[in-house]
Amino acid sequence: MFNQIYSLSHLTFATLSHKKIYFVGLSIGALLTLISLLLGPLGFEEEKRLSINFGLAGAQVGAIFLAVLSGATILKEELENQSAFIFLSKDISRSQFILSKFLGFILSLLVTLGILSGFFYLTSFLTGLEWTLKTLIPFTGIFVEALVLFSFALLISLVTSSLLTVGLSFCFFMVTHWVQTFEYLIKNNPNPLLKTLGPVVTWMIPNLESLNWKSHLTYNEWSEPNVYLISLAYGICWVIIFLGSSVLVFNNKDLT
Amino acid sequence: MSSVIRVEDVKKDYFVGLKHTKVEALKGVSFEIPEGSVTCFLGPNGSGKSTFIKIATDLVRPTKGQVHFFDNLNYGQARSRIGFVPEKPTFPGFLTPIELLGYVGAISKGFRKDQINEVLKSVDLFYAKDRPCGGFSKGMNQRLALAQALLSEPDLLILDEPFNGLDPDSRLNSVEILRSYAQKGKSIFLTSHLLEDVQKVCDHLVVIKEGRLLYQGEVQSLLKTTTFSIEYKSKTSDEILNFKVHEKDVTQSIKTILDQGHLIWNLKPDNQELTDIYKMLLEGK
Repeated sequence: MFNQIYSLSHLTFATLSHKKIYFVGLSIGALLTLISLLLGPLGFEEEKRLSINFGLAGAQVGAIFLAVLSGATILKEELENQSAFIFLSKDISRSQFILSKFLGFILSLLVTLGILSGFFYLTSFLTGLEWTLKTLIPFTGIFVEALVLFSFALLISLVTSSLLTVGLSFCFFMVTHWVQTFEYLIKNNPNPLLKTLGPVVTWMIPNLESLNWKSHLTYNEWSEPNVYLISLAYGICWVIIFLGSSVLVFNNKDLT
Repeated sequence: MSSVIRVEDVKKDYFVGLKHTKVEALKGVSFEIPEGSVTCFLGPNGSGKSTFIKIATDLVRPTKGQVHFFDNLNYGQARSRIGFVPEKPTFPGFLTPIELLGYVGAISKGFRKDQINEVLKSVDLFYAKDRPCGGFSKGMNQRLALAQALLSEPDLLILDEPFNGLDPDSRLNSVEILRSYAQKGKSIFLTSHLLEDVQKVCDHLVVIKEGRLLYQGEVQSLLKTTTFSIEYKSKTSDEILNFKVHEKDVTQSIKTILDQGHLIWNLKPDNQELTDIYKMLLEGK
């Protein structure tokens, strides 16, 4: 079973890395990171901070672009061109098929983030950032955030078109970063209905802002390690929820 | 003889549109395919052929009924003994046939690496084994799809429209490949619109129309000659005349011609084409 999943994950990785969207995502991320060098001097006293923040944002944009577009197309395309039918007719279950797609995406994401973090460190060292293990923390947040978005897009792509999936996933991304603000608004709003329904809504939507640690590196203000660990576990739980739902939907779906 | 596919009352309903309109793609189809046969599944567009193929290969779940393989196995249990070629397969264009078959083989039970070259030779693609399949013609792509299905030497091949969109040469090539595979005692179940090719390769036929079974049986029994053409030379005009008679009337017709003093010039059975039979079946004759 592991050999089959490994082979299909490898093929998924190879297929993703031959796609134009992969290079577009990578180029956007790299470009934004390099632009941070130019934007730095505009920050006067804050040159270093601006460069770091913008560089990390570049890596985040690249990873999210790749996650949403890959999630929206990875199954859809293979079902449309019927190559999925060939693999599913062999000794692999639908759950294993989804799992191998997910693992293949993880490999692509690791390579993408590896390259983008390379660009980031290159530009940041020029502005005086010292490399420590801590500087990797924001990238782990971006990594898990991209996994959440990928698994969400994968789930949505099973029930609607690729275009709509991309649109909904970007909306989802924005909403997930707004949950914290929404919680704050509810807290300060006297409306009893909002006070009752608000927490339910915030429980139902992942708060991806909790994985946004760009400012920690920018301002060199770090939280306790358990904060990061809890947030990563929280993000992974959402990945499991979306991925599990995708497996359930895919297992019961007529592949026409 | 044991059956390679046994279909029991398979029904499939789809619900389409906002109003959730029910469409009955298959209305309780039952039939049996004997082991070692080459069976063609025929029917007009929208008759439920593709739906059935997808149900058989577990891509679509039936509303009711079951499909059994090799007497009593479901698809999950039998999949390692089945090779499947979908209607329009496309492969990642950057992969060479060797790489593609390597990946497919890795997820197939009982696969040996040395089978790749053998299979590529059998489908006449060995010469292109190191070329990315993105540049392949439709015929080459179809042969590659066939190669992946043949990879673990399955006992049953299921092919959805394998001759579709192929030029005459490629069609002939595909027919030859299937023929030689069938000669090894393997079973083949295919759908096709190209009756000329079907007649060349198939020995059994299943015909459906509007989701219902119309016919199931041997091609040969359908193609059995039932009419004869009689040519005779008229005693008055020396002209050669001809007419067709049903086989049961042949003796009486010859007697009448001879009694009238004409000369029997030629007597030959009419060879029916599958196309005619198929049309008659669809028209309910």
